[in-house]
Amino acid sequence: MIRQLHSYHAFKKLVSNLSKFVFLLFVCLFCFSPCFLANNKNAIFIEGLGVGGYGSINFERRILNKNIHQIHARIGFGTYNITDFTNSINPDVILPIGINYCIGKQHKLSSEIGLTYSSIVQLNPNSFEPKRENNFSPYIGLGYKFNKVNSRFFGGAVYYRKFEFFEYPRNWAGFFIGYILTKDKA
Amino acid sequence: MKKTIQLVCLFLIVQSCQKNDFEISNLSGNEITTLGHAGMGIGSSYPLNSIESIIKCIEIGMDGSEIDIQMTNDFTLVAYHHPELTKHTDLEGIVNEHSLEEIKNTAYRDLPFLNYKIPTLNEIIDATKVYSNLTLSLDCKLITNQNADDYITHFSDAIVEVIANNPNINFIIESGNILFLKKIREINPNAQTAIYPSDFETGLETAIKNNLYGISISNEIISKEQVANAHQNGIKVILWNVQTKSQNRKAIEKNPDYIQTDNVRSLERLLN
Repeated sequence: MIRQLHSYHAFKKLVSNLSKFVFLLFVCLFCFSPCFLANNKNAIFIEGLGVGGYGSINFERRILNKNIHQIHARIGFGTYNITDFTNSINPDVILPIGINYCIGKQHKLSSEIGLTYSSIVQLNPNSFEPKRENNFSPYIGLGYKFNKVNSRFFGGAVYYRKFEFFEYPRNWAGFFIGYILTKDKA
Repeated sequence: MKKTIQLVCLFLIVQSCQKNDFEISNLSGNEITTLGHAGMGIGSSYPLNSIESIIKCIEIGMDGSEIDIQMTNDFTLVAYHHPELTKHTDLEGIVNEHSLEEIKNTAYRDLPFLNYKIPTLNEIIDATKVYSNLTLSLDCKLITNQNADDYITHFSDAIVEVIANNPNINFIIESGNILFLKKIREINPNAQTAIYPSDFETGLETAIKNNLYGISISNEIISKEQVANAHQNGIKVILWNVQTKSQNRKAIEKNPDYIQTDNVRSLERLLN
C-alpha cells in the first residue's frame, strides 16, 4: 500500500515536471520560432470566464490555414485578484496556453487542448503570510466561433472540461470576442 | 464637445467631494461597528469564512467579521457557511458527521475556490490576533443529527472556552436557538448573545425576556423606528443582508450598532 502511494506521488511529480517542461517549450516555440512567425495571422481576444480565471486577455497566432481548416495557438493572462489578502499588490497569475483547431469558413466549430499555469496567493497556515500556490491544470474545449468573411472581428463560446491540478475534473464555459491584428494578403 | 467634457469633469468633482454625513444615534457611542459577512462577503473571490477573506476585510478597514461556525463530531469549531458539505467539498453530509481530521483533509472543490481549506475558529483567531479592537460575530449554526441537548452543551462549552481564551477580542454570539444562547449566558453571564429572529417583534420580546445583548436581523425586515424601539429597551441591533452600496447607506440610516455587509469596500467608503 505504502509502495503504491509512493509510486502514485512519484507519478504525480513526473506529470507535474513534464507539464512545466511542455509549458516552457510551448512559450519558447510560440515566441521565438521562425516557423511560427512565418505566414501568420495574429489576433487578440478577451475571454469571459474560460480558462483564465474570471476572464483573460489572450494573444492568438494562426499557425496553419488550409481551405477550411485552421490551427491557432493562444497564450493568455488572467487573474482573480490584483491585491492579496493583506491588501498589497500581489496579483494572482493565470496563464492559459493552448492549441486550437477550427473547421469552417464563417461559422466554425472549434476544439482546443491546453494547459493553465496558475500562481494563486494564499495564506501560509504557519506564518499567516501570503504564499504562492503554483499549479498546472490541463483542459480541453469544444466551441463555436464566428468570423465574418473579410471582417477583423470574431467571437464565440466554448465549453471546457478542466482537470484542475490534474485531479479534479470540472465543467466550465467561456465566451470570447476578438480582433484580428494582421490580415491575410489578398 | 469641450463644454461636455467640462461638465462631466465638474460632475465628477462634485461627486467626489460629496460628504457622507450620517447623524448616527445608537447604543454604541453613536458609532457603527462594521463587519464583513464571513469576510469579504458573497460574491468575493475568496470562499466565505476563509482566513484570507476575513483578513482582507479587516485590512480594508472593517472592525471585524461575522463568521459562520459549525462543530465537528469531535467538538472542534470550524468556519463553514453552507449546511451541507456536499455542495462545496468532496465530503458528504454535514460538518457534525465528520471529525476534525476529515475536515482538515478536505478543501473547497468548486471553482474558483479550489484548494482553499476550511479553517478552525482557533486558526482564524490566531491569524487575526495581530489586529487590535477586533470584533468577531460568531453565527453559530446548530446543525446535527445527534442528540440535540448533548450537541448544544458541547457547542456552548466550546464557545465559552473560546471567549475565555481570547479576552482581547470582542465576541458576539448569534443564534436562532434561545436554549443555546441561555446556556452560554448560564456559563458566562457577560457573553454578548444575540437572537436571530424571524421577525422584529418576536426578536425584541425574546431579547428583553432573556436579557440578551442584541438582535441580529435582516436589513430588509426592520425599520429605523424599530431599531430605535430596540435601543429604548437597551437591546443592540445587528443588521445583515446588506449587499449593495444603497443597502449599506439605508442600513447606516437606520442607526444600528453593527452592520454585517457583503459590500465591504462601499461600507468602508461610506463610514470612513
